[in-house]
Amino acid sequence: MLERRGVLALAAAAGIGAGTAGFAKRLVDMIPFTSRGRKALHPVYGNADTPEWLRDAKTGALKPNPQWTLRHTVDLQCHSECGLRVKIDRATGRVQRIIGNPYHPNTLSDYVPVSTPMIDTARLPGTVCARGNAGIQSAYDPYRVLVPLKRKGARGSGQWQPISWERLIAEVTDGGKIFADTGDANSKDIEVLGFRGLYAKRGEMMDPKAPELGHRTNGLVFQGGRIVGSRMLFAQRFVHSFGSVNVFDHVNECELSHHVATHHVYPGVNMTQPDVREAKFILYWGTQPGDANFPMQTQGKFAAEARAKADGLKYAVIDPLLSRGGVVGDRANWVPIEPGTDGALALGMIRWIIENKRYDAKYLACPAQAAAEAAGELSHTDASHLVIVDPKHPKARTLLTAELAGLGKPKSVGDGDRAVIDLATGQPAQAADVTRATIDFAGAVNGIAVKTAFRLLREAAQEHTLAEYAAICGVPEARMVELAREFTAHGKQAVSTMYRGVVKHPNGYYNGVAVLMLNLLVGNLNETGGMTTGGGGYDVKKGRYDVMAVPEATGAAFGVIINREGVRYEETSEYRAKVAAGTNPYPAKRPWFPLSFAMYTETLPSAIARYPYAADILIWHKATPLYSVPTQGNPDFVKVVQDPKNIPLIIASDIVVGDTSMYADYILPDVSFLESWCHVDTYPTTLTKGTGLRWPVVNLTAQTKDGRHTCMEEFLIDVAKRIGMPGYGEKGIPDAQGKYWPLNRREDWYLKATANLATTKSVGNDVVPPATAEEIAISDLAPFQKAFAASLKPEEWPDVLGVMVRGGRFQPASGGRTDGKLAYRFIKTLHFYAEETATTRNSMTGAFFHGTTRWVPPTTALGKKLDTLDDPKQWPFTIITLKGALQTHSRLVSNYVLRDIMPENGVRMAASDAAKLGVRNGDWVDVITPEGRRRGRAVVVEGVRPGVIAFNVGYGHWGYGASNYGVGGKRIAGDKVRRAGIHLNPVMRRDPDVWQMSLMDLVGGSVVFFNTRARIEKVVAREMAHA
Amino acid sequence: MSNPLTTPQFVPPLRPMTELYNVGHERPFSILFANYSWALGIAGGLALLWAINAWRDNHERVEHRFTLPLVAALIIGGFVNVLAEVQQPGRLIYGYYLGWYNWDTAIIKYGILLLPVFLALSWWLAFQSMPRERLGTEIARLSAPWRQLADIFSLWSRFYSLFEYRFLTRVVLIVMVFLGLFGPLYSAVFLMNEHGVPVWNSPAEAMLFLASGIGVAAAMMLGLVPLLGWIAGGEWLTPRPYHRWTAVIALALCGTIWYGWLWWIGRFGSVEDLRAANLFMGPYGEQIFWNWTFAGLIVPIVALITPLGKSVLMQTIACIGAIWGSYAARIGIVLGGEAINRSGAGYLAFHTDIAAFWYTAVSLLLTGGFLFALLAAMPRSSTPSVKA
Repeated sequence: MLERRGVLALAAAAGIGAGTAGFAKRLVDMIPFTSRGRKALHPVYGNADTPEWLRDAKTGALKPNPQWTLRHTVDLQCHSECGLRVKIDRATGRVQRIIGNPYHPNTLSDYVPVSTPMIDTARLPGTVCARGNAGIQSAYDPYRVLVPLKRKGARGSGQWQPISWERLIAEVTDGGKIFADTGDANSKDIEVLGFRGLYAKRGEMMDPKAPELGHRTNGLVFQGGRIVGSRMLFAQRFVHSFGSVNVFDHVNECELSHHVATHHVYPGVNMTQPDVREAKFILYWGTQPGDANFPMQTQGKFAAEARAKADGLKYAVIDPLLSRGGVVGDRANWVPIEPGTDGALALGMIRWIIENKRYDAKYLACPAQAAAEAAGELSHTDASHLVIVDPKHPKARTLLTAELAGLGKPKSVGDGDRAVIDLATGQPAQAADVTRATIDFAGAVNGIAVKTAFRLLREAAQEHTLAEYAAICGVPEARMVELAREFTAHGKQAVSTMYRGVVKHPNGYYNGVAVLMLNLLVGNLNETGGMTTGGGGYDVKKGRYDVMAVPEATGAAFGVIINREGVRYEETSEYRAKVAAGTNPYPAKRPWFPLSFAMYTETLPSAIARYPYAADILIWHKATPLYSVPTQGNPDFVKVVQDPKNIPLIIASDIVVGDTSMYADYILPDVSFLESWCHVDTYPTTLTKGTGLRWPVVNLTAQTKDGRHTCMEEFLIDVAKRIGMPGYGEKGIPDAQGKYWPLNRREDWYLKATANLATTKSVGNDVVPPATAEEIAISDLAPFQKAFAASLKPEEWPDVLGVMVRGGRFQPASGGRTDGKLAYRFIKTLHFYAEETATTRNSMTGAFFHGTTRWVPPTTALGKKLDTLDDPKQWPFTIITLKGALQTHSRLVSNYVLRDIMPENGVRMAASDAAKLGVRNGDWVDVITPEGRRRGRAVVVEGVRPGVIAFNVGYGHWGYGASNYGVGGKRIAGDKVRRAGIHLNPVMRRDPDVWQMSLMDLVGGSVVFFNTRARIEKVVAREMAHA
Repeated sequence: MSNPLTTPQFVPPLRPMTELYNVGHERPFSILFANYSWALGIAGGLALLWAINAWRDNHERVEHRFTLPLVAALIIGGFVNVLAEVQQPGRLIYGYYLGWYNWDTAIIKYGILLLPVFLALSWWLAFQSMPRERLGTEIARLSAPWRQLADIFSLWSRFYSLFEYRFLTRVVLIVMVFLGLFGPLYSAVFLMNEHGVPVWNSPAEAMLFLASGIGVAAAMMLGLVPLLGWIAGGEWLTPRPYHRWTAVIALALCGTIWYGWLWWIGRFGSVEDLRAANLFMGPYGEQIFWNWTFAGLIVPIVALITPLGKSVLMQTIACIGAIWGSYAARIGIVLGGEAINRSGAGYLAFHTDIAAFWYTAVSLLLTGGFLFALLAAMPRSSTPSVKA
């Protein structure tokens, strides 16, 4: 008996002992009460804030809660730039909550007219997405740089010293041996020109032998990352007045070929969007509603509304990746396409549509807008316009004009001066003279071999069979036909729309044009449920003031932009010299991009390669090319950026020590979006005219001695005043009467632009009423008005305050349609054939670009097919990127509420691929490309096309608080949350033909994100131990 | 959405989340909450049957003497699971202490009050269920320090006996009946604290867990409690035979409630409920059937309902089956409820979690440790009531 009890006691001791040991960590957690929370403030609502509005229990009337200030501004957590309602604690001045501004079209389907008093919007708040809500953490990021920093040690040493604003301005302006105190042997003796020294050379040519390069002042380069709207105008005003053409943002990194392809089809237009709510069928190429595109939340909302109608929207998402909001319910489906082959699928569809005569022949036969309107159409195309196809003709590849066709004097100019074949007579005629023209014609007119633009498209589409297209794009032929049939089964209420997934390839431009041309075949522009160019924004540049005018500096800036954009290589002195010397001018040293703009990714390598010239002063404004540009984070390139002999002075205008700004010489503390000014236009998606106003709802950066909060604008103003640039200081901004007003602080400029916005011509029911006393109190604008009283004329203040209270000026939602049709219509000729493209040569090969679209396989700059560069057998995967609803831009890394939801990105791969490799969800894998290797966790899903791996951008930081650095000898510890995840940009494919250039679309100008080949290796435990 | 009981083909439009969705969908609870729910539910069922038995003055029966140590050990093991699950036990406790009024609608605040009472009462009654004289004799043999410790451990039970006071006994047994009902009901209802999760917010779930707690407890009375008696004293004592029919009826009720519930939500449920039903009848269906319906209901019922059901072997098989099935049911409901994405796009397949397994093992060790400690403290029986 005793033995039995002893065994039991032993078992009890063992169980309790081992169990307690196993539970020890939780016990230890349980004992201390250090992080136990605090007593809640309210028995029901806990620690929740009180509401913005208080309701009278008896009358039900609402009144503002005096505890809060409510201000309407514009978001910048992504480029959708939705209107925000920001709730600020009056006692602390701290932002407590962000929701949607109900006046802003992005935030509600039926948003509130600007004539509505603010108190009446209490029950109807707008929406913003998770990123919008999280914006508070961008502003209050503990890693914010709030005072100027100067590097201590070599560039990228991670050591900084705080300096005064005055010293920052003095050193970068006056130049000299300003790095003597850094302790960096490599730069202590460098004589930096500074703004003053460079400005003094404004009369000198960059290269007397190449006058097209402009003045020496082009050595100032303003490389803007995220800068849009009037903030960009402010920067342009300074840089252009300084005498430099080099001011641009990041467009080619993002979506440039989308814009250029859109220009091809819709001349002069950057972006078109579907009338989502009334469409019956939409093809979403390389984008998905509710997950991306502009504006993200609005597209998703509209698609959801349209989908819910009895006979509502159906759509197909054509993308290698199935994202969050892509396919919901039985009205949407996913077409997992091979990356970069959208053009093949689109051309296959075009071929089937043409051969089965499913296009709108009546619409396409209209050669001019007058004929179209007479036929009841809302737009017209160049389908019937004749193109000179004789390669020997001096005007080869151009559109046939009346004069060349022997039709006498043109009755119109530009797009109107076109020759067609009259459908009625079969004879050549001026486009303006006929109501219907032949669209499928090949022959001779006035002895010149010509074809119609439509014919050229048909021939291009027929270069491959449907089976061949299907093999290229990986979408079965039957599926291709099904899509084409569905697309042409809804009249003009079908739309083919795209975003960056289609265009971030070497053949991106042609892909994009093919996708857009589907719209022309059904004639959907301006139609309800069709395509729209939208209402655009209001002009803020002119009106009561001419905020861009600096008469003394007119013409100061000219010449070739350092990225070699907007200029044909054949127009350069270099080209002419080579031809004169009898040498082959091709290839150029680096590509030229005559059809493109904002070639951001070429800035650094061009400046370092001094082609076409060097940079003296580089300003990175919220720019992080080393993180965000494919390949530019590679060690070789970082090393040359770090060498001050390549670029003597780099100033980063940033809110943190970022992944790229960590390599700057100075960091000037810029403002977050909650502290900045900007006028931002709305997107075509919302159909109406609108301009949002971003204004500082809080101020967090240090103040200058005269009380201004440090930021990019104040920096430029102070530099300009110090070197005596015109347009700044007391003689700053001219008003409509020619009187000059001071420009001594940013409000002097932005408030005048806002006055322009407030008073510009009405388009109907869009006049913002003056702010009432109650609204001024709600938004706490009285102190603001007092502080900046002199920046406006007294009579302008009520209207300006009205716009500030509303967060912008917006046409009512009803203004988007007139008599059941879209109110804003684009009536220029839509192009099957882009003459400008057709007459432009590839600067690397000398070959002409194609005037219409065709299937073009992706190649390097010199034309080597990528499949032969990196054998798919050895590199079986293609890397693509994505921007999820919770993580888009690199700067969101500071938003811990988002990181709580999705702390890592991982390597998204298809379940079938993972099974082949023995990889399970969560396993560590190495992604190996021809450029290097990165490690991440596998995310195994079915929603990725096999052979494709995807990573969400914005993870795997090395800067932005991810790694340690020092300020004034104090160590700032990096946060592993910001390091988490994988970032593959630095190991993406470089073009072997051009030094430190990413793969590029030489027509559209986009940098390539989606054509790097890779292989996956599962990391075994032993390797992890060594890692 | 198909009706799981009226649509012939259960082809739910649900696919595992890993195949469909790219946004992480974390479950709030792991299997640790299923462990907690199971331990608490069974402890309640055992306490309920014990109290009914004690009301009938069966104080010498094996189930009277050896049930409450198991109840106390299960409650302790359950606590370990929930404290491991919430990860910030200190904060939970402190929040409770200062935040009672914040939890107006939270059922868990009543659980946090009543469960320690349940544990204390079970512990105390475990010693009160021993014959006072024998307990006193055993403790008196110990040296002074050990005697003091044993008195504390046994709450000085050698000096008094509850069952000598009839009225007080009835009051305590009523409290025990209440707690015995509360435990299984709470083991389901506390899930309601997590709003918007299908099947977690249903009274059927509470009824199911109560029936399951009683059924398993009755099966344990037949197959496990005598084993505890044998472990403690070396004698196999036969429990009352009515536990057999209690188990059969309660387990049959479980099956009725379970399939009735699925029919109900299939017929009347919200979209979320339908998705849950489709999950249980679809992707989870096979596991649910074999582990819950077959092993947990059919096998025990068949084992007990036949004439062979009187045998120790069959009763042991029934006990094991009922334990296995009731645990599977809780795993299915706890994990299945939260496995469904609220958008309806897909569901999460079960993935192993080392930490959850670790604390499951830890809780088993602690449950066993406390059970053995209490069994070791049991005085040896000199007059067994009924020998096998």
